[in-house]
Amino acid sequence: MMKFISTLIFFGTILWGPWWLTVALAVFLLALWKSSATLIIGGMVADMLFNVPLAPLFNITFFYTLLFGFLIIIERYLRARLLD
Amino acid sequence: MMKGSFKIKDYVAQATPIVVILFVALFAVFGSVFGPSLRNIFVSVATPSETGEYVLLSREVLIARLSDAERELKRVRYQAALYALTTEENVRLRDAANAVKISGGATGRVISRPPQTLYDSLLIDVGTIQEVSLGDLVVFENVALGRVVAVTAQSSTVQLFSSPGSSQDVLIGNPVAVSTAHGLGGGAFELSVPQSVSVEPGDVVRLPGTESYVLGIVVGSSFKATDVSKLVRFSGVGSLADLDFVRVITELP
Repeated sequence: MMKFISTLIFFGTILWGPWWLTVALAVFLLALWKSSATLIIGGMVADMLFNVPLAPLFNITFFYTLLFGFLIIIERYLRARLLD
Repeated sequence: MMKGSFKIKDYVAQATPIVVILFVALFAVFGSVFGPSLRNIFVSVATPSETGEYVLLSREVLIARLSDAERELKRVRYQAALYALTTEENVRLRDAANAVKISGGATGRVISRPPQTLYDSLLIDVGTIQEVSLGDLVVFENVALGRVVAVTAQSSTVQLFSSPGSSQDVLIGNPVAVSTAHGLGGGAFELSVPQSVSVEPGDVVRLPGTESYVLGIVVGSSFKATDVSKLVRFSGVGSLADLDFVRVITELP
């Protein structure tokens, strides 16, 4: 239930909340429930809604997806090295 | 975990980075296909309902509000008539002086703005239906904000001039110099001008053109005695967080 509510809030912050809260919730979801798929879908939604080309990053238009992708990879690495 | 045993969970854990990279790559290729439809849906959902706020009000309150609204409407109609006369006079004067005609425009509600998004962009609820097209200038009152970079039937994405890597010609200083302002993100800009041009904190930076829009206010400058130019930093006017409506200046046919 908590996971479902957190996921809803995560998507809510993508649409209406500040970006830093979205990223903080993404870390929270990953740390507690390994919600990789939620993050990837959330990143895609955010990019599709708000993207503009980012000149310093070779004009990419999928920054959120990339950021959350990196978060997932880092989470997997840390979990494997520190916890499992 | 027992050594030598094969569990699906382990495979999944090992494959995660590859799956993530695959998803990112797929999105990079196909993301733009679904983007416009998703933006239209979001704009439809996020635009406040015109009747929703009245559902819980009593009959007396509704009558009082209606009478207030009618009084306000009379006042606005009078002002609109004055505005129409002034606009007509302006057009006649521009014709007589052979000046450039005023561009048309559409007023749009801002659906999302920084810091709601990491991108320096605005999502607004006007699109091709309101004759908005790519490259149109977006302003708030007399302040230039950015240009339309993506447009659908009911929505447009505006890239702010302050977005990192964005460049824009501007007028600045005394004597007036033309320079190129570079966006740094978060409403900040920088540009360089010759040291002979006097620039003080509080000076206004404008876009060149017949209708000169303000781009920002100078915050400070720095230079070395050995350089011919100095670096000027300026920031946009007003807070984007409070931005509710903007005007899109559409190009003349």
